[in-house]
Amino acid sequence: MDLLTAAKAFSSNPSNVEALTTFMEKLGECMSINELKSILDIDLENVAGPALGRLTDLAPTDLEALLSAAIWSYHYGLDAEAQTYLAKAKAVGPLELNVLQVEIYISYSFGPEYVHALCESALKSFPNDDWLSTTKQSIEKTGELTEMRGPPIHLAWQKAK
Amino acid sequence: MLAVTSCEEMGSALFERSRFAYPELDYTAENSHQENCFTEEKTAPRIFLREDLETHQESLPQTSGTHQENTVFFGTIVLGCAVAPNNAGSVTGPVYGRNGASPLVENGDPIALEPFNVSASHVHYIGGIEGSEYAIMDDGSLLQTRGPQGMQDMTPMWFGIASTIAAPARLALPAAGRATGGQLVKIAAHGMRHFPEVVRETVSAAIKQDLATLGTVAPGQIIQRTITVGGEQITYRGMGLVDGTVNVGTAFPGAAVRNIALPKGGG
Repeated sequence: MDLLTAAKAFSSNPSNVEALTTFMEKLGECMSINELKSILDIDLENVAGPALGRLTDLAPTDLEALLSAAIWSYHYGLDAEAQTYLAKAKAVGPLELNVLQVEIYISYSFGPEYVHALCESALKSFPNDDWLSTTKQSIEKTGELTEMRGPPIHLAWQKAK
Repeated sequence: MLAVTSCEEMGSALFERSRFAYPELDYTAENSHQENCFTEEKTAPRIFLREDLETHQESLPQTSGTHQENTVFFGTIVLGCAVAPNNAGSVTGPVYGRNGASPLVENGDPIALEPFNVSASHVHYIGGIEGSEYAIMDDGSLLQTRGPQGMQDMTPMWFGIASTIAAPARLALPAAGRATGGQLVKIAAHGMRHFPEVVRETVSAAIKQDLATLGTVAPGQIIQRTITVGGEQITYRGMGLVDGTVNVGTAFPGAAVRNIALPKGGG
C-alpha cells in the first residue's frame, strides 16, 4: 500500500486504529516531498497536519511548509506548536511578507497592543500591504481585537476538504 | 563509614546497608492495611452520591415542538469537579425524581431525589450532596435547588466560564451543523475540548450563529473571532474549505490561550 492509498483509507475511517497505524507508518517511511504534498488536500483534519509535520522534517527550510504547519497547528488550538513552526520560518525568512503576516495572525491571543505593534513593524517593510493596513486600522478604530481574518496566503493544503 | 577491600566485600556491605535502610516488607501487613483502608473508606462519610452508576439509555417521545434533543444526565457529583454524565437519553419533561416521577430512575437510586420546584421547562439532572440538591438545566446551567442557602445558580462554581454560556441556548438556535447563512459548519473532533461536555452543544450553536452573521467564509479563508456569549468571551477559529463548509478547529474560553508565553523580542 502506498502513502496516498493509506491516507485515503485513514481519511475515510479515522477511528480505525489499523488505518491510522498504516498511515503513520507510510508517512514515516515517505522520503518524497512531492508525494507528501500530493496528500495535503485529502483531509484537513486527519491527514494534512501529520503530513505537514513530516514535510517540515524532510524540508526544514521550506517556508511554505513551515507556515502551513504553523497555521494548521494554530487552527486546531496547538498554539505552542504553531509558535515553534513560526520560529523556524522566521529563521528561514525573517522579513518575508508571508512570515510577518502569519506571525501577526497567530499572535491574536497576545492582545491588541502586541498585534498592533507587529503590524506597525511589518508596515515599515511593506507599507502598501492591504491586509497589514486593514488589520492595524481595525485595532486603532476600537482599541480592541475581537476578529481577525487570515492573510491572503493561498497554500496548497488549504484546498483540503 | 564502611571499610571494604574488594568488590565482593563492597557488594556484601552495600547489601547489608540496604537491608538496614530498607527492611523487608511485611506484605501480609500491607495487605491487611489496604483492606483496613478500604473498609474505612467504605464507612467514611462520602461526598460521592453513588459509586456504581449503571449506564442505561431511554427515549421518550418529545412533547415540545423544538428540534433539539433534550438530554438526561445521570452522573456522579464530586465536590470541586464537574458533573460526569454517564447516561444520556432523549427526554422531554419537567422534573424527574423518586416517587415514580421518572421512569429513568430506579427504585432506591440514591441520586434520585424528590421533585423540586424549578421554574424551567427542562431539567437534565438532579442529584444531591449532603442535604443540597442540584439540577442541570437544559441550557447547561447548574442550579442548586435546595440547600442551606436556598435556590441559587451554582454554575460558576462548578463550571466557571461555561456557566454563563447558558443564555444563548434559549435563543432560536440554528439546526444542527448549519449556520443560518446556509454554510455548513463542522466542528473539529477535538474542537470543543476546552469546554465541559454539558455546554459544548450550546457553545457550538453560538459559534454557528455567529458565523451565520459573517456571510460566506471563502475556501482557504481563515478567521478567528472572539464573541460574547452569556456575558463571557469565547474565541473560535474557523477555516473555509473547498467543499463550501466551514471547519471550526478550536474554541476556548476567553480571548487568549494561556499556556503559551509571549514571544520575546516581538513587536
